[in-house]
Parts: sequence; structure tokens; C-alpha cells
Amino acid sequence: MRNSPIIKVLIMALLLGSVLLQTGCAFKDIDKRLFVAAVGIDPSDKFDKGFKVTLKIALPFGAIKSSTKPGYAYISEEGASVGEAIRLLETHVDKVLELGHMKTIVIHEELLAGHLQEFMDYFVRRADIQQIAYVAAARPSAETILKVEPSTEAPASVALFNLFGDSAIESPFIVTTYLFQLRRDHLAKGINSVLPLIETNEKKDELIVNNSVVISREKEPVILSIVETKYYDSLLKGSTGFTYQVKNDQLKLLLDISESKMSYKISESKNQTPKTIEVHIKLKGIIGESNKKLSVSKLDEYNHMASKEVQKKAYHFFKRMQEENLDPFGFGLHYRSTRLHRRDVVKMWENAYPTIEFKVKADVKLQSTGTIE
Amino acid sequence: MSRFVYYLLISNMVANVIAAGPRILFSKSEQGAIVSMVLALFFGVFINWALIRSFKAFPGKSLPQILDLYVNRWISIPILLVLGTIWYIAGLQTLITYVDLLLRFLTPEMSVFTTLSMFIVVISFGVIMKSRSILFTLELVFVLLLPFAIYYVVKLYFSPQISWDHVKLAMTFIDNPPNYLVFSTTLFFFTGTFDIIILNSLFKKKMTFGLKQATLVFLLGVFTIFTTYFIPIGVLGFDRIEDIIYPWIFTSDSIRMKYGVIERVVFIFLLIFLAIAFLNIVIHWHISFNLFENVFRLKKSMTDKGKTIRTCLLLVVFWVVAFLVTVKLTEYDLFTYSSYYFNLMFVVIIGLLGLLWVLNRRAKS
Amino acid sequence: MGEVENEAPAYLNRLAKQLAPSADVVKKTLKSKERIVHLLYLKSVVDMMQLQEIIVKPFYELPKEQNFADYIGSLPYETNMPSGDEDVLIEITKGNVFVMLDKQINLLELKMIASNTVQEAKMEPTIHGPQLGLSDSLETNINVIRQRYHQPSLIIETLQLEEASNRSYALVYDKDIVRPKLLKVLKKRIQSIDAKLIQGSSDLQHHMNDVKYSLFPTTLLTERPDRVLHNMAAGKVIIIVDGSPHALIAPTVFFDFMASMEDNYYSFWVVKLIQFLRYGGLFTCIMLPALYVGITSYTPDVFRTELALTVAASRIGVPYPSFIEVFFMLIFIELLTEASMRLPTTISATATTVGGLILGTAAVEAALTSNILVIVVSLVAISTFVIPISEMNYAIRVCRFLLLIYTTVFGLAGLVLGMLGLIIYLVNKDSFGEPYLRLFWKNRQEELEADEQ
Repeated sequence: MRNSPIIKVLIMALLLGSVLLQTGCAFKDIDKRLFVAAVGIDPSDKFDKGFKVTLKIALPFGAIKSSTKPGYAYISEEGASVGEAIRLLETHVDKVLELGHMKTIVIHEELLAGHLQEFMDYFVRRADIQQIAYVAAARPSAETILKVEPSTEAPASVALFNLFGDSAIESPFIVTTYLFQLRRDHLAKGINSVLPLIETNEKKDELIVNNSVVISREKEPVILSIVETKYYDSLLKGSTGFTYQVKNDQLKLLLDISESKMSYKISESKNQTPKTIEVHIKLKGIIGESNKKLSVSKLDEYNHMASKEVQKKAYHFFKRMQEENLDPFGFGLHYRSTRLHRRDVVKMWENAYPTIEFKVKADVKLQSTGTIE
Repeated sequence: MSRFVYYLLISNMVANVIAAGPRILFSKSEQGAIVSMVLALFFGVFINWALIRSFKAFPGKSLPQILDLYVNRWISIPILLVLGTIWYIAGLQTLITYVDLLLRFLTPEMSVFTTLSMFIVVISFGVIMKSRSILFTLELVFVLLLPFAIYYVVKLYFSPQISWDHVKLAMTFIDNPPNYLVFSTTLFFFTGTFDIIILNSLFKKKMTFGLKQATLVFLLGVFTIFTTYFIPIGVLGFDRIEDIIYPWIFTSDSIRMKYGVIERVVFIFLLIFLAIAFLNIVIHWHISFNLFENVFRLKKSMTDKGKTIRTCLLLVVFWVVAFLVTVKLTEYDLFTYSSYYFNLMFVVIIGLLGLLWVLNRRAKS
Repeated sequence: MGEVENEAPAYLNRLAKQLAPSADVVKKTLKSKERIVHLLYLKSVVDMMQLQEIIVKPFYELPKEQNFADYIGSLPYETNMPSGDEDVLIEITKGNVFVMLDKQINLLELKMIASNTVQEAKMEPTIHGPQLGLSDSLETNINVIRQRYHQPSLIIETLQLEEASNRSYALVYDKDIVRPKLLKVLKKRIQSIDAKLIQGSSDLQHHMNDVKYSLFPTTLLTERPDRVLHNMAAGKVIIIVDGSPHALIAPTVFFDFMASMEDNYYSFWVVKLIQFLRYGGLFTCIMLPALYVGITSYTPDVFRTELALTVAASRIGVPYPSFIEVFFMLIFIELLTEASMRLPTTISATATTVGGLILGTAAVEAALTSNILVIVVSLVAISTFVIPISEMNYAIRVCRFLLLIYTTVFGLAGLVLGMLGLIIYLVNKDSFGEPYLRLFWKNRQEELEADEQ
């Protein structure tokens, strides 16, 4: 046997020694920590180019079952940078601020113009902050949004997490953007990131998320309307369960779409500049509501009608984004990835995009008229 | 090949995912990474073939034993010293990287000394234990980790957040001329098999390296390289990925388990890789330890007490160096020295294969 | 026929003298007209009825002296006559009757065994399979084994322990399967035991461990005949000590301790489920307390947010750091387990209920522990008992504490490293030359042979 008694004694001594040397500074009990659930960032009034940081801290309750309302504490502080403000906030509380559970970053709408580096750097750089934290824009301000405690919120469950987490509500009107996605899309050339926009009602007891914001490094953010958000989510991410309204002269249909797919091809003209984007949209679903009696045999007709409608709406959406010179779908990235790398490929795309032509073709396949004809 | 040789290969491939390897690859992502990786893939299979083939003539014998038979001791001592140091550094590199990771991600408030000292007991025991046990441990830990690893890999590949456009974008850089640093870094993935320079004494059966084995090694290589290089690009984006110091931690942190017991996959990743890193360090240091032991074999028949003293001294040296280096080294140093190490490794591999070839010829004559 | 000698021969006297002054020594001389027989035995261990039937009665009924000598010689009860007084005396103390008939001396085994009934299997109960275990008597046990394993290759080697009790023990194995090297190692180990007194298999097990400070058992103690046979058929050696209702199986590796005999009786998927539960239980009872400390005190980010809040809420008001809390509760549970084991079964149920339920609830009410920890500790306590063999059970309970210490000092990474340390310790350990913990893909026998080359 190799391990003779002397070595064993040595190993034991080392173990004991290391136990004694251990200062125990990393040992902090869970009840001595404060879990920050969300961070809000607003522009500062006091500092020029500074920030006002608000933390939403989830408080543990003695008896979860018997308490009806969730308990939160809010603290805010202003600072020249986000990190500085948070460092100051650490002196405002008696326990350790734990950012490992911070899952929502809410940013004031106005801060989204231009490069995000200034205040997002802190979140990406710090190791204990999750990359799967949700990022959202706030209107009117991040602080107001954080302080909203919806009446449907249960104790020990944070409404902001449920909204974006997909484990409770799944809706095509809610765009979910993770922190790592924001970083990726923000730094990449040829795609613009989209953030959900959180609003509240006058009584401040509801969180409303159905709009979104397209941000770009170079310009002001652009707000997407409800319908545009829905199109963005369903076309790019294949979100389902959404409804499309289709109108004809006499007929009004509401479609429940269960499957959506978008594929596109970028074709070039002779001198290798991108010329057209051919988009093909495929949708599958059933009819959810109608103002008239329907007939199953006429499904083809409804299909045709719906396809035309979707085609039109999608085309308008693409066109509007093009006019704003924004590219939330990442056509540019796709273009870069399908051509062998050349030095001027990004520039070429940037020049061509404002004048590029969209050809949209939609295929709606309705499978039933619901439970009645 | 014995199944244990594959384990050695895999453990080295996986352990490199956390070390400086991926970062080096990404730093050259626009300067010929892909071509170099493909070249290294083929060359990696070749060196494995060459190694197994050259050990074919010596079943059940380790390199020091073979050297004793055919070479003068004054020639074999420097060879063993160099190899011992190389293997020691391989283990040290993993150790430093992992200590750094733990300090950054798992227990940020802990001191470097505490973090390092938690490794001392277990790794020392692993280093001095029987070689046979190392192989069994490897197998056992692999079997225990396999379900987690499969889950993790599946989760990565099927994550809806992966942007395949970024992956394709990275592939468009295929026509750049190859880069030596990327080549040698990728080649290092395939060097796990070289642990048999000591462990060969346990493989009594003659090992063959035919088409079947070559295909397996090739496929393992393809899978490892693809996963190491392209998955982080898909998750983190192609542009500016070279800024990230631990791309794989970042990648794992970007995966979410919607309904898991824990939500952040990064912790599963950290703990799986702690086990793999641990195995990697133990194997490398065990090899290094054995090589050094053969150097300091003063008399043919050493007393038990003498052996114990030698073991203790070697272990103390191992750990003192490890402590000094870990405390001194910054992340930037680690990155630069790792690249030097990978560059050197290529030369060492070629040298070792050459040496084995000479030994083979001597054995035949 | 010649003159009948009245005097007992000198040899017999010498033997009797050495046994004296014990009260149960009987030196008897049977005398009839033409023949004389001297008997020496201990009446406490000899079956009187048999003695009467087999020796005394025929002595007076058989017509000629010559016939009686042959008759004694032909009896099936005969044991081999050892050389040397000391050994003869040991045989007498074992229940042999020393018969001296003229020049002919014989030892007849007319043992009376108070407890040769087969006992109920209490330690490892199963629903299916044999309900009866082994008995106190070596002969009965061998009989139990022979009855279930009809192979000429089954070898029973009866040997004697070299300590105060001079017990006989038997090595039982199948000579076609057993590895000769193992047999040699085993015999050498038993012979080299340096102990004053060995009471039975459990003692022997303790002494056969070659490492002074050991935690994990390298031999398995069992009372189930099916386990004995199952292991023997796998090439292991069974050691049965006289007077002990347990058999010792050597060599045993980790997985032997995790196998229940019921695994052989149920259908495949049921067995897989049971095994999954068992290994799940194993990991739970080793790691869970340490995990609790590691997560709550070092890395609460691992939890889901909701769970983190719940745990934090349950710890509100607990004055101690988590590791003291866990130590306190674990020791409490260990005390309960130990107490209920020592108490008669009728009381132990009450003790556990009072201790577990009432104290547990009261501790939470008094904010000495969090209620989540009470759940954790009870889960740990229950899963400990999923391990089928009690020796392993004890070893695992000790490991739990070691792992807890390591995690308390180093956090979650310490937990993983501690587990790995435990694994490499087990892998490096061996039981009579066989690696203690290893996996077999192909044939177990083949791989073992490959190691030995």
C-alpha cells in the first residue's frame, strides 16, 4: 500500500490546519441575506449622466400561508454609475444584498437611446448576476413600475418573473428578452434587439405588457404597437395561441393560430448587392370567432382570405421597420451568415437595406371552424 | 483500445472546455480558427493512432519501464523530468482555472487559500493512490455524471435562444489561412490518450487502433470541437465574443430550466465540471508524480520509509508550487502562459512520438 | 477371553486429571463379565440419551467383546483422533466422548446442542424468499447450505480458530468457481488473527479487517441462506463460525452491500425501480444535510427564488448558523435511532413517536430549527434505512457527518469534492484483493482475472 500512516497523519494535519485557517467570511446564512428581485434604472436628477437605481427586495414572510400580500421593500439611490449606486444602497440595509436572484432589469424608456454600455456593463460584468435575467423597458419610469404591486400577485411569487417566465402566462403580446440576448443582439451587426415595454394603469395595481421597443445603437428607440409586437413575436419566435382578426366586406373572423413559421431568402442582384427579401409565412390554426355562420366546406375560401390579410399586415410591418432603418428580425445577420466573409459585407448590407424590396407570401391553413359551424 | 483509454481522452477533451482553450479559439475566430481546427482534428486522430501503435510492442509496460530496458539512465532522466513537468503544468492549469472559477461564481467571498486548500486532501490522496483506482474512479464518475451531462448537452443544443445565424456567421470565416496557436490548442484536446505513458502498465492486452477506433476518436473530436466552439457563439453571438473571459460559464448561465429543481443551469455546469476538473488534475498529477518518482529512484531497492519520505517531499513540492503560482497569476497571465504551453505541447508530442519510434526500433533489433 | 482389567489406563487418567476439577467431567468404566470400556466425557455437552442408546445399551447386549470393538469402530459418529493431549481435550470439550476399549481409542461425537433450530431472519427481512435464517449450530448451517446447493464441487473445510474458545469454523465455497488466490489470502488472514477471544462471526468480521482504522466493512455478515448461496455461486467464500447464527461472506465489495435479496425475486422493471430508490436514498442520506448547509449558507442562488424566500422565511428567528442547526438535528435523529434499537420493540415505537413527532414540532415552534430542516432531517433518517445491510448503514451515517464538516468549511464545491474524495477512497480500498468499488461492463469474473495477470 502506498498510503502509509505518515502520509495519513500528514493529510489529517493539513485538513485540520485548513479548517483552522478558514476565516468563515464566506459563510452567510440565508436569513442574513436580502434577495433583490428586480432592479430599476432611471436617469438621475442630481448627477449629470448619472442614474437612479431602485431595488425591489423580496422579503421572506414568517408564515407564507397566512399572509395575503407579498412583502417588498424598495430602496433607491442616485449615483454617477449603476455600480456606485448599488454600492451606496448596500449601506442602507442591515443585511447582505444578494443579486443572484435578481431576475428583472427594468430600464427607463428614455435611457434606451444610443449605446447601452454605460449602465448595462455592470450587469454583464458581475459574475453573480444571472444572464437569464429579463430586461424590459418601463414607462413612465422604472421606479413606478417596480413599485406596482398587482392585485393578483401572491406572496413569495414575483409578478415580474411570472410575466416573462413562460411558466405562468404565455402570450404573443409579451416579448421576453434575456440579458444575454440583449448583449448579443446589441453588439451584433445586422440585428436590433427588442425589449418589452411595461406600463401601468392609473391606479397602479396592474402591470400591462403588450408593447415593445426596438432599440438601436445609433438612434432613438422605436415603439412597436400591439399588433406589431404580436407579429414580431409570432413570426420570429413562433409564439402561438394568438389571435388574428380578418375582415372582409361582410365577414369578420378571429383566428386562433397554433403554429407559425417564417422563412425567408435574400436574393442578390447581379453586382452582388442584396435586392429582395422573399418572406414566406406559414400559419396553422382554427377559427375562434365569427360574426356569421360558417361552413366547413368553405375553409379554403377562409384560408385565402386570411392569407391575404396576413400578407398585407406583415408587409406593412416590414416596410415600417425598413423606413426606420431598424432590423429586429436580423435580416442583416442572416445575410452576413449566408455569404462567405468579405470585409465590406456589413457596409454593403447597410447601404442596401433602406431600398431593399420585400416580397411577402402568407399561407394560412385553417383546420376547423371550432366546435360549431 | 481499452475502454479506459477512451475515458482518458474524453476527460481531457471535456476538461479543456473550462480552461483557457475556448478563449484562445475565440480570440482567433476571424483569423483562421476553423481551418486550423479541422486540421487539428485530423492530426489529433493521427497522433492517437501513432501513440497506440507505438505502445503495441510493449503491452503492460509504462514509458519509464521501457526506457529502463532500452536506454541509458542518463538519457531517460532528462526525458522523464521534462515529461513530468509538462504533465504537472497540465494539471496545474486546470487547477488554477477552476479555483478562479469558484472564486468568481460559486463562493465569491472565500479567500484563495481556503479555496485551494479544499483541493489539497482529496487531490493528494488521488495522486498517491494506485493507478488502477484512477481508471476505476474515472469510469465511476463518468457514469454518475452521464445523466446530467446528457441533459446539459441536449438542453444546450435545443435551447430556443440559440441563434444559428451567429453559428453560420462564424462558419463564413472558413477561408482564412490557418493559425498555429489555434491548431496547437485544438490538438491539446486529443492528448488525453497520452496518459498511457504511465497507465499502460495496466493494459496487459494488446491494443489495436483500426478504422473503428479512429472513427470513434474522430467523432468524439468533431463533437467536442463543434460544441466547444460553435455553441457559445450561438448563444453569445459572434461579434465581440472574444471579450468574454469564461465563455462557457456565460453560455451555461444563459440556459434556463423552466421547471427544474434549480433554474440556473450554470450550477449544474459548475458542479459537473468541478468533478471533471478534479479527475483531470488527479490524472495529470498522478502521471507526473509517477514520472518524477522514477527520476528519484536512487537505489533499486528502496526502503518503505525512504519511499514515504519521497512521496511526502514530492507532494509538498507539488502543492507549494501550486500555491505560489495560483496566488501570483492573473487571468491575463493564465491566458498568455496557456497559449505558450499549448504551443510547446505540440513540440513535446512530436518529440515523444519520435522517442517511441526509436524505442520501437531498438526493441525490434 | 483374558482377565478383565479393573483399573483405568494411565492415559485416560492423565486426560481426566487435566479436565478436573470441573463438575461436569465424567469418567466412567463400563464393565461386564468379559469386557471393559472406559469413557471420558463432559456431561454438560454430551447427549445422554444418545450415549445410552449408542454405547451403553449395546455394550451389555452384544455377545462378544470383539464385536463391540468393531461396533464402536463402525459407528458413524466418529471424529478423527488428533495427536497430542491438548487437542484431544479440546475435542472432548466440544462434546465428543472419549472411548477407550482395550488398546483401541475412539472419539465419538455425541454432541448435545441446545439451540440448533433455524431462526427467523430478523435483520434483513424480505417479503419473498426464505423466511428462516441460519442457526447457532455449525452442522445445521452446513446442512442448510447443502440442502440448497447440490454440487459435488461444494467444499466445506472445517477448521479451528486459534484463540481461547477454540471454535470450529467452516469455509464453504464452490471449488470450480472460487479463485484459488482468494482462498489462500483468506486462510492466511484468518490464521494471522491475533485475538484473545472470538465470540462468533461478528467478532471475526471485525478482526478480519486488515486496516486498523477502518470505516467500511470488507466482509458481509448475513443471516439469510439465500444471500449465502447467491454469493457463493458468484465465487465468494462463506465463513461459518460455530455458535453464531450469522455467516460471513468474503470478499465483499460496495455493491454487495447495496443488494437486497429481493432483487432476485421481482420482475425486471420493479427491481430497477427499487434499485433506483435505493441508490437515490443512499445519495440523499449522504448529501442532503451537507447540501442544505452548502446552499443556505454559501450559495442561495442555486434555489429558485420562490424556494429561497420560503427557506429564508422558515429560518427567521433561528438563532444558530445553519450548520449548528443541522448538527443538532442530526445528532437528535441519531439518538432516536440508537434509542429505539436498544429498547424492546413494544416501547421503541412509543419512543420514536414521542421523540420524532413531538420534539420535532416543539423545536420548530420554539424557533430552534426551521421547519424545512425538520423535513430534510426526517427525509435523511428515512432514506438511511433503505440501505439493506446494517454495517453499510452505519458507515454511511458516519460519512454523512464528515461530508457535513467539509461542506461547512468549503461550501458547495466542498460538498462535491468531499463526495469525490469518498468515491476515490472507496475505489482505492480493496477487500481481499478485490477493488472495493468498481463497475463491471462485461463479465465480472473475466475482468477480475484480467486484473490479476
